[in-house]
Amino acid sequence: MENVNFTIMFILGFSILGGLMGASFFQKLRIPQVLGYIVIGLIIGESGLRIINRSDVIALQPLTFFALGIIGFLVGGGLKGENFKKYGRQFSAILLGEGLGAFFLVGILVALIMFKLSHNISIAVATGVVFGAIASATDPASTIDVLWEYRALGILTTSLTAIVALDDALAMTLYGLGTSAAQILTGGSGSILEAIEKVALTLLGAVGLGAISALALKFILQKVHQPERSLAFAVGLLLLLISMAISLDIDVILTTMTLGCVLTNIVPRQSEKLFNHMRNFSTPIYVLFFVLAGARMGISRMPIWLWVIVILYVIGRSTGKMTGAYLGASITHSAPVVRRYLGLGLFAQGGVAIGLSIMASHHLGKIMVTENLALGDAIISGVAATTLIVQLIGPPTVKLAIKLSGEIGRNITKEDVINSWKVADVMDTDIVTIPENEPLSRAAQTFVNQDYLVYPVVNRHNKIVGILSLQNLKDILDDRDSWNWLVASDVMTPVQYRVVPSSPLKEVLEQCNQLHIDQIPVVKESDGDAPVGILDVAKVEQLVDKETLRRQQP
Amino acid sequence: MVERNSVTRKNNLGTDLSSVLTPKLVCFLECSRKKEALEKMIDCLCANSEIRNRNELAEGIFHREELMSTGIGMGVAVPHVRLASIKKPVMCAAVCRNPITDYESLDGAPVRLIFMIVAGKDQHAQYLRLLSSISSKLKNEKLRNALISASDAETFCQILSGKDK
Repeated sequence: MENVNFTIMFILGFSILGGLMGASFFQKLRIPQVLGYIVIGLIIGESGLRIINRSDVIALQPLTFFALGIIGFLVGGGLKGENFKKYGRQFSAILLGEGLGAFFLVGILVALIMFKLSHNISIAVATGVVFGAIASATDPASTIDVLWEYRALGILTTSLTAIVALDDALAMTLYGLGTSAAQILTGGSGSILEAIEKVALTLLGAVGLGAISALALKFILQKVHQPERSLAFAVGLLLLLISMAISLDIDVILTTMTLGCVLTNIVPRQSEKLFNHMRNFSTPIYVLFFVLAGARMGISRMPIWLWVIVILYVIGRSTGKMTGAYLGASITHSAPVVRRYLGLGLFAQGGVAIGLSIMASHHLGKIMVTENLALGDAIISGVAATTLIVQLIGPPTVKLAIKLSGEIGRNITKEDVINSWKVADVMDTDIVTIPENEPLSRAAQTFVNQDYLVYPVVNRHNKIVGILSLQNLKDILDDRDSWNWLVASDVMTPVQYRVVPSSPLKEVLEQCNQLHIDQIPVVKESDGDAPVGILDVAKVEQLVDKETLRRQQP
Repeated sequence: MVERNSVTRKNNLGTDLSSVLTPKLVCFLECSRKKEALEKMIDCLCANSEIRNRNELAEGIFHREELMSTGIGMGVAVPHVRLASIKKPVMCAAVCRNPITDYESLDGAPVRLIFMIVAGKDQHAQYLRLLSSISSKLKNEKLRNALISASDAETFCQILSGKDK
């Protein structure tokens, strides 16, 4: 046992439990849970109590990448081809509008400040370009987490999912071109053509790797039918894919997003269950990811001028994204809710921005903006501070956007409906019973006169002894003479299983599925033999479909 | 509860009477009362088949008779029951040398032939096919008369399975 690292175990447990407690506290205040995770991270991390320090965060980096990979995979799962066919033009216009809006506004504001500070146009433009490129990215993780938490569904949610998924690619393109331009401007080596080639290779690599993995996962899903095994295979494949993306210096989110996107479009039905299982499985990893994101935000010892940049960055980015999204949506005649509220949902900034700032510090680390501060360090600290601010603003504004658009609570699945129902909600109660001694000729008449396909058979004490279905009658349909001397108890299916009205519907349907039965009698809670109704699985499925549609309506 | 796909199962069932009725399970009764006749057939089944629980069988048979007489007319009765302990269907046949007048058959006629059928709870379709098969066969008056006149159990089985010619 002496080799086991207890500190890491403690941090894992402490972060998850602390994050969840923070989330439930924030939920009580009607604030998105993701903020709770981040705030707990801030409290226990670098900017707070320092229970988690930088070396712990570095040690847990593989988990952060794993979480990013899962986020990418799940976000990709929401990118349906049909939506792109229908809204592709609108998505492209909004994406360019909000991305370039933030890029230019932040870029210009930061460049102006830097010029005033350094009186060097090259350094000013270089810094502006890098900050602008980073500003164009939106954090899919916290945005999507809010959409899931509030079960949002509708055109705004669809557009938001697509935009936050795609603007990482735009951010990386702008960043790749921007840093090259910055290096050229500041007298470094490299050319724009080289930069374009590198960006193209990175993007194509991510898409290619993701697409090939999707084909492999499709093959696995077609061979493996147990949900637990499919999930295990998918997690294994995802980890391999993440490791490949890291080793090839390709964006993890974009790679796994491609995997999710291709998978959901080539095997929509089989992959739907996998995405649901993955979502349930990923909760603790998610919590950990956000707590660690909060923990590593070190914003102490920043000079005043950098705080000015931070504030202008936040204002410029938010204005640029809102204005750009509005213009893009207006030009393409998007739905009014998209035009009005989409910009509000694009404030969050996370992993991609921090990742790009770290990369920028490597590329531009040696350029000094003041006597004792390098451009690389200024970018890292500045982006960390802006991330902290927009992560605090972002999730609540996403919530506001979906609230104003009326899309909260509409992402209802059949499972949600089934989970919310008891047997009493769906059983047939006005059903007539058939005495066990009733001749079949008369019992058959009940099927003619009533609308049901199954009836409880009762003895003279009105206790249930079996079920008579149309299927039972079909077994002797060719011998009508016997209907005069056979009675209901001769052909009924003896009752072996029964449920009470308060039984959870989910458990009963699972039981029916395991036992291969289509109807099950419902008996009184106080008297296990007194019938009060029948649960017909086919009818329940119809009711669930109907209710799901009803609840999805605004 | 209604099991899925019972229709497909029905199509695979055989209704070969010789597989459920052996000469050991054919008896010739001298009694003229329904209760006595049924008791003797229950004894025969318990002695010559896998059925061991006589009480369960008797209870089931007499409960069914309480619901409605199994005298289907034309001098034939088909008492039947499904029991949880039965693994495969079994049948006992009786020729009543003295007609049973208290059987309360559908047509009021005294009973001369009794076929007692016992099946498992989960042999629903097989059980119905057996009942239907017996009642269909015995609509033939010549067959009924031949069975009533059978001199021994082997002959009875041969006549019933059509191997007597």
